[in-house]
Amino acid sequence: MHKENQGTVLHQLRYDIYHGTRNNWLQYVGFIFVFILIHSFFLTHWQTLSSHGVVNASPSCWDYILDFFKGIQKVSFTDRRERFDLPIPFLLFNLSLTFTIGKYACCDLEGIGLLTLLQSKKRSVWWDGKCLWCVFHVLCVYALLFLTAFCFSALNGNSSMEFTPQLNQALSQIPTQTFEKWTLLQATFFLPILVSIALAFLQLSLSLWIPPVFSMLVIICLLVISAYFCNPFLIGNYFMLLRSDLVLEDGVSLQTGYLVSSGLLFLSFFCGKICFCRMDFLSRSEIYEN
Amino acid sequence: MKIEIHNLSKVIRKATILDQISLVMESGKIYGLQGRNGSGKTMLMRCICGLVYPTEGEIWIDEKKLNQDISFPQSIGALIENPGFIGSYSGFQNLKLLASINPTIDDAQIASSMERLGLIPDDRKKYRKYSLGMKQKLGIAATFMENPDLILLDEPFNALDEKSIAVVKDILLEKKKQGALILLSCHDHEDLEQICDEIFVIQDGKQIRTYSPLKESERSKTNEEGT
Repeated sequence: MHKENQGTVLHQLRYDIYHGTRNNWLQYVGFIFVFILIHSFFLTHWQTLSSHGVVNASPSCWDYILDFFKGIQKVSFTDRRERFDLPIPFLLFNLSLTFTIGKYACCDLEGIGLLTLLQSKKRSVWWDGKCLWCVFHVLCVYALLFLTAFCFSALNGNSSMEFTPQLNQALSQIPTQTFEKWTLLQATFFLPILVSIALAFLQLSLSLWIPPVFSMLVIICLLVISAYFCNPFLIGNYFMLLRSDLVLEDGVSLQTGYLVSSGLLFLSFFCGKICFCRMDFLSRSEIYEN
Repeated sequence: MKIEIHNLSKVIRKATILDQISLVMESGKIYGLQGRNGSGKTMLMRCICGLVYPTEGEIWIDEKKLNQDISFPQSIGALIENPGFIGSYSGFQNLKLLASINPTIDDAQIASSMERLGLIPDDRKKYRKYSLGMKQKLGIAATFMENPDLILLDEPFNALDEKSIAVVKDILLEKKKQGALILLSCHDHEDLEQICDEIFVIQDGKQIRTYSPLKESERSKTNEEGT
C-alpha cells in the first residue's frame, strides 16, 4: 500500500538541517553579530597599541581567533588586589551555542517532533541524526567564526594564515613564537571544536532526564565554574588559551583536553542513546497526572 | 498487516493505566476504541505506536515484536491527542517538512491530502493562526497523506463540524478499502458504530467488552422480524 522507504540517519539529518539550520538562519546572523562585536574589540585594542607604536603588523585571521579563545588568567581567590575579570567572549560564544542547541535539538520531541520520530522508523535513527546535527551546527558556527575573522583581517590588509608573535604577545599575552603552528592550531581551534561538540552532546543527553531549560542551565554553570577554576575536568578551560600548559606552568594540557572531551562526548552519546531507546514519550498531562 | 496485543499492561508511578489488554487487529478493517476520559485509550495508542514501553505484555506487528524487533510500526500515520505543528509555518509547509523525512510522496499528493479535508494548500496563513478545526484537519491530513498501512486517530472528530466529520469518515472507509488497518478512538459511540467493524470498550484501563456494530444491528433486525 505504501512506498517502501526505510528511515535512515541521512534522511533524519537532512530534515534536521532543513528545519534546524536552514529555517533557523536568523540564529547564525546572531552569531555573526557576536563575532563582529568581539573582533571589533580586538581591532580597537590593536589600533590603540598600533597608534602608540607598540605593534606595527596588522592582525592575521589566526590572531583574531587566538585572541577570541584566549580567555582569562587563572583566578586567585586569595589575592584581594586581583582585578575581577569577566570572560566576555567565552561566555557570549558558549551561551549562544548552548541556547541554539537547546532551542532546537533538545526541544524537538514535542508536537511535530513526535511525528518525525515515528517517521524515522527507529529510535536510534532519531538520536544519531540529532547528534549529527549538533556536530553540523557546531561546525557551521566555527566556520562563521573563521570567516568573520578572515574578513576582518583581509579588510585590514592581512590575509595571511600565520600567527603574528609580536601581536599575540602584546594583545593576547600568549608567546606564540615558542610553539609549533600545528600545536597552536589545535589549542586555538580544533580542541575548542571538540569541546563544543562534547558539551552539545552532554546538553542533549541531559535534556532526556531534565527539562531542556535546566540542561542549558547545567551547561552554563559548568562553563561559569570553568572560568573561575582551572581544572582539567572543568571542560570550559580548554576554550581558554591562557589556561593551557602552553602558557601556564600548571595549566591544562592538550592531551588531557582531547581525552576529557572525547570521553565526555562518547559517554554522553552512548548514555543518551541507551536512555532514548528505552524512554516513554508521554504528554505533559500524562506525566503530571500520574 | 496484523497487530496482536497480548496481556498489555502499563503502570506509571503505581497508577495502572492499562490492565491486561489483549486485542487482535487486521488490515482492511476499522477498529474503534470507546471509553470515557482517562480510560486508557490514548495510552493504548501510544503503546501501539511504540512511543511507550509496556510494563507487561507484548505487541506484535506482522510477527515482529514491537520495542524489540522494531521501534515503531514501519508504516504508520498517527494523530495522538492534540496535533502539534510548527506555528510559524503554513499548513502545507508543515506537511512538506514531515514528508521530507521519508520522501515517498510529492507536493501534489500533499496538496491533495489537504484539499480533501477542505484546507487550501496555497494558503500562507501560519499554523498558529489556524482555528481548532483547521488544526485538527491538518493533523488528520498528516496521518493519511503517505498512505500508511496503519492509521491511528485519537479523537479525530474533535472540533470538526458535521460536514467535515462526514468527509473524514469517507476517507477512512476509502483507506479501509485500500487495505489500511485503522484504529480510532471516540467518546461518541454513534460515530464509531457508523464506520467501525469492531469496537473495543475500555474502562479504567481494562477491556470490558468487544462488539461488532454490524453484527449487533443484524441481530437486532433478526430479533425484531422474529417477534
